[in-house]
Amino acid sequence: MPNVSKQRGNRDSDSDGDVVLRADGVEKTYSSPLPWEPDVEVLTGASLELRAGEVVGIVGENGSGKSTLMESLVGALDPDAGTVERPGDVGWCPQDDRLYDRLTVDETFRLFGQAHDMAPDEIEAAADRLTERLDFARFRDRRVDRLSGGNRRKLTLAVSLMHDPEVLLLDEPYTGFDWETYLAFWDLAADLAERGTAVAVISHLVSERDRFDRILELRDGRLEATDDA
Amino acid sequence: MTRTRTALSATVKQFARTPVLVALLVVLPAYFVGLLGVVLPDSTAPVHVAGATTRTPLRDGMLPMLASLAAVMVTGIAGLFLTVDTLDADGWLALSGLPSRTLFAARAAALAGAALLASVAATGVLSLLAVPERPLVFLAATLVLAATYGLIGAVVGVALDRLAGVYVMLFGPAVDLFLLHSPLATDAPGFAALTPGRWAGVAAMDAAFTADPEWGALGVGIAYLAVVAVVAAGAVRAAVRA
Amino acid sequence: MPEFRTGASAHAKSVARQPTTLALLAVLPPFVVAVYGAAMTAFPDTVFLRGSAATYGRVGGALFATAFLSGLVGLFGTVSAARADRYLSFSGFSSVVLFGTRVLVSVGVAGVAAAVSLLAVVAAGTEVASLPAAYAVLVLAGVLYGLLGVVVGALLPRELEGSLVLVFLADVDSFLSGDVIPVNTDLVELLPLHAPHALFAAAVRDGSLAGGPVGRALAYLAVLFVAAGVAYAAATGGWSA
Repeated sequence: MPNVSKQRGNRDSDSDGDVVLRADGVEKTYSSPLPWEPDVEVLTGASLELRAGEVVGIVGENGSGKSTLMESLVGALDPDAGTVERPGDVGWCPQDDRLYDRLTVDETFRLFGQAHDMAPDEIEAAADRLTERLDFARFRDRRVDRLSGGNRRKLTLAVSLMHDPEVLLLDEPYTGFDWETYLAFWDLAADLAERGTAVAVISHLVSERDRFDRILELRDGRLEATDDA
Repeated sequence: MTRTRTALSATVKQFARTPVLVALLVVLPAYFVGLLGVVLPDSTAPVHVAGATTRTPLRDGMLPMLASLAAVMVTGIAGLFLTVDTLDADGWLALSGLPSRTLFAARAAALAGAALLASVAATGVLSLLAVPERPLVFLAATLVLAATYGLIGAVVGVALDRLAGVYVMLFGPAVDLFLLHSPLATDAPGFAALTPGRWAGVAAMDAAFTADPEWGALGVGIAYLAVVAVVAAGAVRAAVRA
Repeated sequence: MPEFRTGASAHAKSVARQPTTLALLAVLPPFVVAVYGAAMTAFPDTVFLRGSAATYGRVGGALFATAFLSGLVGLFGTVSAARADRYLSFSGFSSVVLFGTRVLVSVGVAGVAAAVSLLAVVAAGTEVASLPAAYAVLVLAGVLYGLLGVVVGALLPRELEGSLVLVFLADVDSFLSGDVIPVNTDLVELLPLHAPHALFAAAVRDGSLAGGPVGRALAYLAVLFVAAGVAYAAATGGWSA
C-alpha cells in the first residue's frame, strides 16, 4: 500500500514546478469471477494534472467511476494501465467514513496523526483547529459510533487534512453537513487554496460553480473539461 | 514504538468497548464449566489420553475440554472482530502512513492478550471444580490453542460478516474439540490430524489428566500456530490492499 | 381478510429472500443432528436411562435446530418490525393483523425447520415410531421458540447479541430438558423444551403422546403467546386495530 503522505518526486521543469499530482491514461476494469458476467470498464484513459492552489471540481453521473478515479489517484487502487505521479503530499477524504467505530474523536485524531508521523503537540493543535473550524469540538470525547452521520463526515474530512497536505482529494466531502458547516467547508477550502494546497472535490452536484477554478466531467471513463467554472 | 503503542492502545480499546466480546468472556467459562459442572452427573466414564485409559467422573472428564473450548471460542471471536468491519479503516490508516508491520504487531499483541485473558479465566473457573494434573501446562496449551483460533478468526473476518463469522467461530471449535478430539472418544477420523485441536488441544487434555504431558503435541501445536500466523498475516494484508 | 393475506405474504417473502436463513434451514439441522449424535456416542450408554446415547444426541439436536432456527426468525422479524411494522401501522395497517402475520410466518418456519430436522434424524439412522406425532411436537417446539425469539428481539433488539442469547438458551434447554440424563436440579422443569423433549422422545421411541405432558406444553404455548404479544407491542409502539 503506497504511503501517500511520504511520497516525494522530482520537480521537473518550471512549467511542471507547481504540478502536485499528475495522472496519465489511467485505466481500470472490474472483472467478475463468474464467467458469464461481463467486465465493467470504468476508466478508459483518464488524465489530469492538479496544480498548487487550484480548486477543481470532478463531476459525473452515478456509477461513472468518480470514486474509482480518486482511489486510483491516491493509490488505494492499482490501475490496470497508466501512471500516477504524486510529487506532493496527498490527503484523501474517502466517500465512505472509514473510521474505527469504538474510538473517540480525539483517539481517532491521535491514531491517524501518528500514522502521518506528526508530533503529539502537532496532532493536538490540528485537532483543536479543525474541530473548531468545522464545529464539532463538543463531540471530541464521543465515540465514532455515537456520532451523527454529519459529524462522522466532519471527522473524516478533518483527519484527511490534519497533516497539511499539498494535495487534497475529497470524495463527496459535505454529505450530511448542515448549511453552516457547508459554508465553513468552503471557507476552509478557499484558505487552503490560498496557501497553495490543490483541492479536488468530487461531487455529483456542483451547484456553486464559481467556487471552482475549473470543472472536469468524467464521461465514458475519461475526464473532459467543461465550459462551466 | 510510539506508533505501535498507539495502535495497540486503539486495538485494546476496541476490544474492551465491544460488549459482546466482554459478555462472552464472562459467560462462556461460566456456562460451559460452571453450569455444566453443576448439572453433569457423577457416574464415571472412561477417559482416553496418550494411549492410556482411566476412569473418571463424567464431569471431571468433560470439564477440561469445555474450559479449553470456552477460551478458544472467546479468542476466536476476538480475532474475528479484529478484521470484520475494520478492513476499510485499516486501509485508510495504512495509506495515511502507518506501516502495515506496525499495525500487525499491535493487533497480534492485543490478540495474544485476549488469548491469555480467556485462557486464565477458563483455567481459573475449571480449577474451582476439577483441578488439572499439570495446571500451568494446561494453561500454556490452552493459550496456544486459543491464539491459533484467534488468528483463524481474523481470517474468517476477512471473508464473512459479523453474524456468520461469530457462528463459524462457535461451531468450528466445537466440532474440533467436542466432536473430533473429545477425551471421552477413542478414535478420531484421519482428517482430524489437520485441525488445531489434534495438537495443542490434545496436549491440554493430557496435562489435565496425566502428570506426564505430551510435549511433542504441544511443540507441534506451537509450530501450527506459527504457520497460521504467517497465513493470517498474508490474508489480512491482501484484504487490506484489495 | 385481504390485509392479513397481504401482510403474511410480504413477511413470508422477506424471510424466503434471505439466502442465509434459507441456507441455515437446509444445512443446520442435518449438521447439528449428526454432530450431537456423534458427540454423544462418546458417552457410555449406561449413563442413559432409556435408549442409546446416539439417539439422545439426535433427539436433542433436532430440538435444538428447530428451536434455534425458529427463534432466530422470530428475533430477526422483531428487530425489523421495530422499524418496518411500526411505519406500516402508522400508514394504516392494523398492528394486530401485523402481529398475527408474524406469528403465522413463524409457524411456517417452524414447520419447515421441523421437517428438515426430522428428516435428518431419520437419515442418521434413528427409527422413529410415529412420524406425524414426532413432527407435530417438533413444530410445537419451533413455535415456542419463535415466540421466545419475539420476546428476545424486544428486550435485546440487536441481531448478533439476540441470536447469541437464543443459541445458548436453546443449547442449554435441549441438553438439560431430556429425562435421560439424571440432572441435579429441579429448575430444568421450567425450561421451554422440557415438555416437548419428553413428548418428542416418546414419539420417537413408542409413537405415542398419551400420558405425556401435552397440557403443560400447550399452557407454555399460551403464556409465550401473550408474552410475545406484549413484546411486539413494546417493540412497535403499541396496538392499533
